[in-house]
Amino acid sequence: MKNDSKSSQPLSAAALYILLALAREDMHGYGIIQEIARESGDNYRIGPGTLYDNLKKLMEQKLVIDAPRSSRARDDDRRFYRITSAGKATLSTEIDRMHSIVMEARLRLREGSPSRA
Amino acid sequence: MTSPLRIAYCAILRLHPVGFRAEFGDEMLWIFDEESRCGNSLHVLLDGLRSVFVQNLRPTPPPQPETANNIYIELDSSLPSERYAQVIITVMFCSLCLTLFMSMVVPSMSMPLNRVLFHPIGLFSQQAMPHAQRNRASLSWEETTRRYAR
Repeated sequence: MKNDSKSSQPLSAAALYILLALAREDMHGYGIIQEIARESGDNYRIGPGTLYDNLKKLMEQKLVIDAPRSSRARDDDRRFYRITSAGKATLSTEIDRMHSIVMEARLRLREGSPSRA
Repeated sequence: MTSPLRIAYCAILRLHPVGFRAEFGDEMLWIFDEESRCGNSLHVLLDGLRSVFVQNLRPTPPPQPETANNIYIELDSSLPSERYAQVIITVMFCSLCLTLFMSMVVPSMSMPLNRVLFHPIGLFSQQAMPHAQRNRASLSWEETTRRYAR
C-alpha cells in the first residue's frame, strides 16, 4: 500500500533526470551530473548536494542500487549507481504521465486557439 | 593547494548529518574539485549550503526493529534539537562570513552590519563587568564605533 502511494506521486525534476541518466548505463555521481547537463542542454545543472539527496531517496525506495564492482575496471574506486527494474517501471510511468499531460495541454490549446472561432 | 572555497566546502560538509556525510561526503568533495576546475565552485558551494538545511531539517525515520510481517512501525516524535542547533550555528557562521566579506568590499556598509551582529554581544559582556570597568568599556566601544563610522 505504502509503495503504491509513493509510486503514484510525480517525481521531482532532479529524480526524473537522475533516473533518465541511469537508464542508459551505470554511472558515478559526477557522470550523472554531466549527463543531466548534457540532456537538458545545460539549462538544468544540479549540484552534488541535490544529487546525493535524491540518490539517497531513490535508493531507499529501491529504484536505484549500487552497481557491483565486478562490472567495471579494478582500479576504479568510484561508486557507480544502477537503475533497478522498479526504477525503470517508475520512470516509464512518469513518462506516460507527462505524455498524457502534454497531449491534454495540446488539445486544450487547440480548442482555445482563435483560428477555431 | 587548498583554496578558501574548498575549505569552506569542507566546513559545509562537516555540518551534514554523520550518516549522510559518511556515505556521500568523499564523493561530494570529489565533485566539488571537478567542478572547481570548470569554474563552478560557487554554484556547488551554494548547493552544499542548501543541502545542509535540507539534510538537517528532514526528519529521518529511526531504525525499525524486526517485527512479524512488519506490521508495527515505531514513530519518533521527539524534536531534533541537535539539528536545530546545527542550523542555528550554520546561520551564525554564514552571517559572520557575510560580515567579514562586506567589511572587505564596502567598509562603510560593514559597520551597521557589525553593529547589528556584535552590539548585543558587547552589551551583554559589559553587563557582566564591574561598574567602573563597564563605563570604560562602554566609552571605548562608542569611540571605536565613531571612528569606523567616519
